[in-house]
Amino acid sequence: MRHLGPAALACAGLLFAAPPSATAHPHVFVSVSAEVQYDGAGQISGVKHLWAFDEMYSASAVLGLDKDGDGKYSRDELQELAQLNVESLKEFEYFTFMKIEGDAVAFTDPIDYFVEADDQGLLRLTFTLPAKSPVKHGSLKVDLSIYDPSFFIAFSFAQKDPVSLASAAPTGCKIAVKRPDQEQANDQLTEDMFAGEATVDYGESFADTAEIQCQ
Amino acid sequence: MSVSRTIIAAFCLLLAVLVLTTVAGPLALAQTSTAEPAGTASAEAETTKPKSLLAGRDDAQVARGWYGQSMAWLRRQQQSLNRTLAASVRDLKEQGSGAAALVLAGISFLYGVLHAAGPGHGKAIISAYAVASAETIRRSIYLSLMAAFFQALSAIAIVLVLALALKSTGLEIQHFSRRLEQVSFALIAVFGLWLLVAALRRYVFAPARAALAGHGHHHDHAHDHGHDHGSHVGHAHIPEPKDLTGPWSWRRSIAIAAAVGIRPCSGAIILLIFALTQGMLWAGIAGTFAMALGTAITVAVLAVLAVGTRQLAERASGERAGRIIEAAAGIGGAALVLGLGVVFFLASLGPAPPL
Repeated sequence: MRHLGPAALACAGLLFAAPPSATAHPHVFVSVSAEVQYDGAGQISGVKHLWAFDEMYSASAVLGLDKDGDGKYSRDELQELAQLNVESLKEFEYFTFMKIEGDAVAFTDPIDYFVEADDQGLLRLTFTLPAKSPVKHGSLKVDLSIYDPSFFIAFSFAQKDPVSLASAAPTGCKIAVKRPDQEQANDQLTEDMFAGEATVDYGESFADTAEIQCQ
Repeated sequence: MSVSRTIIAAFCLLLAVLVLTTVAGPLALAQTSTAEPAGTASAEAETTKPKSLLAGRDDAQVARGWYGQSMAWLRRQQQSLNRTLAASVRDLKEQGSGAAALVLAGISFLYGVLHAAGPGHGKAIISAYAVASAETIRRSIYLSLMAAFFQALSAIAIVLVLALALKSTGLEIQHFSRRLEQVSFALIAVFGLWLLVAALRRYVFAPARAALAGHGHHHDHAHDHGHDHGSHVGHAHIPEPKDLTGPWSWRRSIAIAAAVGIRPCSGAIILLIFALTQGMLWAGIAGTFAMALGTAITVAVLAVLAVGTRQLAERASGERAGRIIEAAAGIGGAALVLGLGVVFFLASLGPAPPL
């Protein structure tokens, strides 16, 4: 009998060591439009994000921020929110995952960030994430996905203009956006992912992914 | 000894089932629901499956594709629910019809059911507590309902006091909710510690002391939940933490439900603030209760599964093994409540949610 306590504790310990499950309860829904930035030499220099938030999150985030009481939320009034968002997103690496043939691209702190409210009061966060050092991808495949592994925020690429390339991009590039639940292409996608990597990242498997392929 | 070892293994299995149901809940939910509406999608899945098996993929790949599809599907469902929820509040404002109110209640309810599939609604804690204190299936359902009800009250109180009375900003409300979350986890940890001490006293130290004192026969009564110990003079010196198992204790049940429930659900807070900004706070409050009913159902399903598993194990085993299972469930469940409280508390000290 006396051995039961430790045994049960050991059981409990084992259970805690289990990996945390992805959480199926997003609180915030974000529709992302991303623009891949290029420098003069045709190298990727960063990603410019436009995140459109859902109506309910927008309403709760702007509560009390209309300081001049004119019923509108100006960029100035929302700057505090933008600052806070950008600061807390750092911990999560801005949920931006870019890979060139499986090699992750590193980013630095965001610049040019601001939040604005559209006519219906929906919030939009804009920021640019510079690459730590510009990378040339040539004809290698570039994968870009924006997702929250913990699923607190549900990201999806916008239906309209999901991913674009800045004007300095190399010519002859094709962009394909894959949405796991909507396309048969998912099958292809998982195969591709496994060809390149050995590790299993389940968060990635439900993320929308854009594949950029240049000649 | 070998018997008890087998039992320990069985109990580990039981605990594993408990945790698996907790962890796999969202997946199972996602899976069952994918089959229904997406006729074309499931047809696709069927045609691709044999192909991928032929291609010699291992299970992880198949599981991952399946997982990705279900999660992405779940995301889209919740997104559309979220939009419908917002729209129904606006409809109610513009039309003021009973139909719009019903839609709001229905959507909130569904949102609650789906929402609670993720962590943060005390599924694991309520289940572990129910297993530890040998609750019946009916009591587990009460517990789940109470915890969800407290959670709804907490969200409503926060929005009423902070947003309405104190004119706090959305950011301040979020910050305050986070503090409450930490308090909740700390309370759960304290409660778990108390449960564990009581369980150890009951199942380990009391029998040991009794054995030393020569009361070998006490084993015959250990499983009686202490009902008839009072009549046995020889047991008067054995500590009797009466409220550990046995009669339904409102105080204890309310304590655990409140500890779980003072932490508001962010989904409810968001709905309430949105309703408030639409001048429809009462609709938000009604929606929050409908949502709580939904979360209670999801939580209750898991708690009932856990308690049912325990009861099955006890029924299937002999009397002696049954007592060992009871002790193991009492101690293990209490340890689980303590451990979950500590782990969640520590995690809540970590980085704030991203937005």
